[in-house]
Amino acid sequence: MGEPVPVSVVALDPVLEAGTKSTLYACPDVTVTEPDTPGAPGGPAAEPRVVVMIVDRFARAELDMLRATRDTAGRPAVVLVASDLTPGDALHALAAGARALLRRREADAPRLSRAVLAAARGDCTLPPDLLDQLLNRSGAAGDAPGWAAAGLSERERSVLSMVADGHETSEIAQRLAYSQRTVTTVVHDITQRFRLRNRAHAVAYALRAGLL
Amino acid sequence: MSALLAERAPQAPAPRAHVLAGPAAPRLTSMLGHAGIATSPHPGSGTVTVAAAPSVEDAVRTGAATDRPQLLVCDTVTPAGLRLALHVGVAAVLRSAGLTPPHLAAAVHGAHHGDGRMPYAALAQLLTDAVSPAVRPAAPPAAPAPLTARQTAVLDLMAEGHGNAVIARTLHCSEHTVKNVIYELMARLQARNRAHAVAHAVRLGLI
Repeated sequence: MGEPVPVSVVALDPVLEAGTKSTLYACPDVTVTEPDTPGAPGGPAAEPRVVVMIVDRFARAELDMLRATRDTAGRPAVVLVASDLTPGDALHALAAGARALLRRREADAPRLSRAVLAAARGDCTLPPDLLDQLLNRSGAAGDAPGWAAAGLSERERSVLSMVADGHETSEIAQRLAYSQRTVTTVVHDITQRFRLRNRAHAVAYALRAGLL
Repeated sequence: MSALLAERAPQAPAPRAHVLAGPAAPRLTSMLGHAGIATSPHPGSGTVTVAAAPSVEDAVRTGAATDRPQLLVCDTVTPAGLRLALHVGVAAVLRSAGLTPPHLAAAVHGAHHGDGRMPYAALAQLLTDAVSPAVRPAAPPAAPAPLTARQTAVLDLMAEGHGNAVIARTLHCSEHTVKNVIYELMARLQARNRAHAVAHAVRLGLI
């Protein structure tokens, strides 16, 4: 039936982490690994291909946790299990690289293991009602939660869409009649707010999160 | 929480699969057999209707109005194809490349439970489209030939904000190779810089 997918679990709550691990131990298609244990010789690789992340809400701290998880060795796909998910949360989580979004009350063993298998192949799993809401939204991230509520200001959006169209700072300054310093500051504010590394990251994130 | 803490999976009856006729049907049926999923000659309750075809458009055409597939297995999944699938009520779309019996079995079970499942890049493009139709480029760049696996991997890492050194380390190649791949990508996507290339790729549903 193929190799089981190595998976690890991260949660802020140790009881939830233990519960999720024991749920996954019962699934034949996955094998639970600890992220920091070296692989036994001849045994399964220690690097998880998928990390299940259990959170309450998806906010700034969780965004950082998701990014940190993506940046570990092997760049695991992330299955995010949250108590509550608004469409705004969902967009930010997907933009930050989550491959599956599950609500905690719906995350039983079969569904969790299916989401892990899908994520290992680069497929996304979403609750159908959430998908509906995401696709039928209008207006940029209007209902985003507190930390992302503002989305981008008009000025930020105009600068970032010019970045997305391949323009350099000097051209953007000229076209929008801002100083180059203003353009740099605007980009810096965006990357700081959403914890982004550079312009390419900012553009990809903003497009995927529907901010642009 | 209680669901997460449950030791054992609840034993739901295993779904059967009804495979719609088509050139790829025999291969799919045999893979379902390997996955331990029984096939049924008719659609019905407890049965997931599956269609396999080169594209989503072809797969949707396979089913009659009364016999809508719930799970599609396609060689290519474009954002437009995914949109069509969701429009006709298919929530699970799978790429055929590298599909193994356990993955197929998981997808059949998922479709049976109504899980939404689809390739990330196509979904990301669709979401971009859904939230910001007003700022689409006036003339969207023409879809280029598909990217190689390495080009896609490099773009993926660029879109996550990584520089050449990290990309090289992650992909186990030299920085020189990364630079070459990026150079090719720039030409292919007609991009002026990295941010431009990444924006094109997201908008085209390539990453």
